[in-house]
Amino acid sequence: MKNRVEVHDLSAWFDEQQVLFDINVAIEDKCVTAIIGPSGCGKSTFIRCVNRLHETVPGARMSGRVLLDKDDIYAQVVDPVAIRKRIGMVFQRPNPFPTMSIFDNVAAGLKLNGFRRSAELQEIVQRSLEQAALWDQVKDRLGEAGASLSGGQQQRLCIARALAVEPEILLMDEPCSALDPAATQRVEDLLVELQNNYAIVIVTHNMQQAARVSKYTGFFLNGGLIEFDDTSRIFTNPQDKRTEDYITGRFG
Amino acid sequence: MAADSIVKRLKAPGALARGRLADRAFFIATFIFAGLVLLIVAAIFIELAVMSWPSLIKFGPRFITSSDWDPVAGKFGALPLIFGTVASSVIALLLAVPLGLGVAVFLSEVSPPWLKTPVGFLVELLAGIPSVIYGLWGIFVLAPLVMNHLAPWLNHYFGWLPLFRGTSYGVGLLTAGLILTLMVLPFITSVSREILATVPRDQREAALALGMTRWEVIRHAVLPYGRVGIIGAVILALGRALGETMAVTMVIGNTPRISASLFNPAYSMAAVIANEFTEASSRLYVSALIEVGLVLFGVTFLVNAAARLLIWRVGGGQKRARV
Repeated sequence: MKNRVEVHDLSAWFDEQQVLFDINVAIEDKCVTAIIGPSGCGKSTFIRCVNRLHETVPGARMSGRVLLDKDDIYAQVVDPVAIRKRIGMVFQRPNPFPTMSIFDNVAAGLKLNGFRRSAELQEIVQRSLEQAALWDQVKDRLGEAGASLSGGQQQRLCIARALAVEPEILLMDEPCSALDPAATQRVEDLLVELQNNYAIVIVTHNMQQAARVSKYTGFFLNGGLIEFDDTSRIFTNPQDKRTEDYITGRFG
Repeated sequence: MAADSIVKRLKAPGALARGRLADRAFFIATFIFAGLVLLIVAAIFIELAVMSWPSLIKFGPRFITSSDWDPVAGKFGALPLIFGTVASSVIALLLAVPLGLGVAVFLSEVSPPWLKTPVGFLVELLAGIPSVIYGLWGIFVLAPLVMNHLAPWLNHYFGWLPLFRGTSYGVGLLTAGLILTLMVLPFITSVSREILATVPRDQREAALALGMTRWEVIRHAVLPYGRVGIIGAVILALGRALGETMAVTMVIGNTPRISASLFNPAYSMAAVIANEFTEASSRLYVSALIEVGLVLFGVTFLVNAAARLLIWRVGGGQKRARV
């Protein structure tokens, strides 16, 4: 299987505080890669460096290289806006645009790209909502406010919004941490579906979740990538003592 | 032990009763303060109505439909005054809303950090300048500028519009509108800036992550999120513009006439009261001026009510959505 994203010697800072230390990792296509680790270990910062969102925070900077299909996304000539169109992201807390309808939320990214023909737009919105397993619940009320949905539905709306612009990579930053178990289950089922078409990176607090959905798992601790391997090996036969301590629940 | 006894004392019946009493007193005190506001507004309205009674009786509805304001002949028609007030405020808002919002967006979203504080400070300083200073500046700087440069230019390129026909003598509706623009700008800017600062980061990031440019993030995520508050800022500005007296009196031309061209002199309700109150010789004249005040009160009230309705309708969608 080919690697979509390669990260070389990635370090990141917030002002003077370094939060990531020399990360080297590759993300494979058409599968789920999970990133686990305790709070504040740099998991989120890591994926936010992959779609160049980290740099939008005042005082934040990074060093190292991130390659998307062998091209350095931090090269001088690269427009971060173009990168973010290719790499979608779903956040920890569902964040639909509160003034937009369900339909407009999903179509938000498309309209920017000059999509105006409504028949095609409707088709894409429907397909995205179907992919996000939300279509059946909202098809009769697409004009209602996106924020009128329940938390789990809002998160799937955000997933649909990210999918609508047809990204190549999907980054998910603890997408289930604000959801109840039933909604979590649905999002996980969705991931299994989606990995046929996308490279997915999911940051999660929940080790069972990582074990259930991912093919590879990386364990972060204090800003370093301690271990990266097949998910089955990480959870059954970790090579590093710290990984073992974490997954057996001795800390974190 | 000590901590234990403190807790015990807190839970003693006497302490609880004292707490309830304090709550009650607090409620009554704040209720009186709030009630006072209602009483004052009602008192102003009643006083205006009573004092303007002779004029109300004599002219009836003609007072606001007639455009004949001729105190010497004892004719009082306030339509030109209403026109002057509303038109100058509309000009001010048309110019100040995009300008003020633009400054607010610049300060909160675009500006390099070192520029934010000085520019923000200067904008707020604009709000603190006494209106008579604006008026003086209007007479000596802005009016000649309008007469010699702006009006001829507008006339040359947009003269086909009735708005820009004729010649300007400096003072007039356009100059008044421009002065008001400057005066309401800081209200729109500083309130909108506060509103934009409350837009959560996750909204901006949602937009960024979709591949929006900085402008698109502002356009599609930041401004819509803050729209209710921004409308509030505009209402505040409108209230200020409608009631502004001194600066407008000094530059509007003080001629009770309705004309299509913005270059012509006009008159506003506040200006007529300020100018003519001291020379109002007859009882009818005085009561007519007070009725102008009543009408101004009514116009302000209507505008605010309409704006509330707008906020309620715009915000209603969001409120329903939050459930």
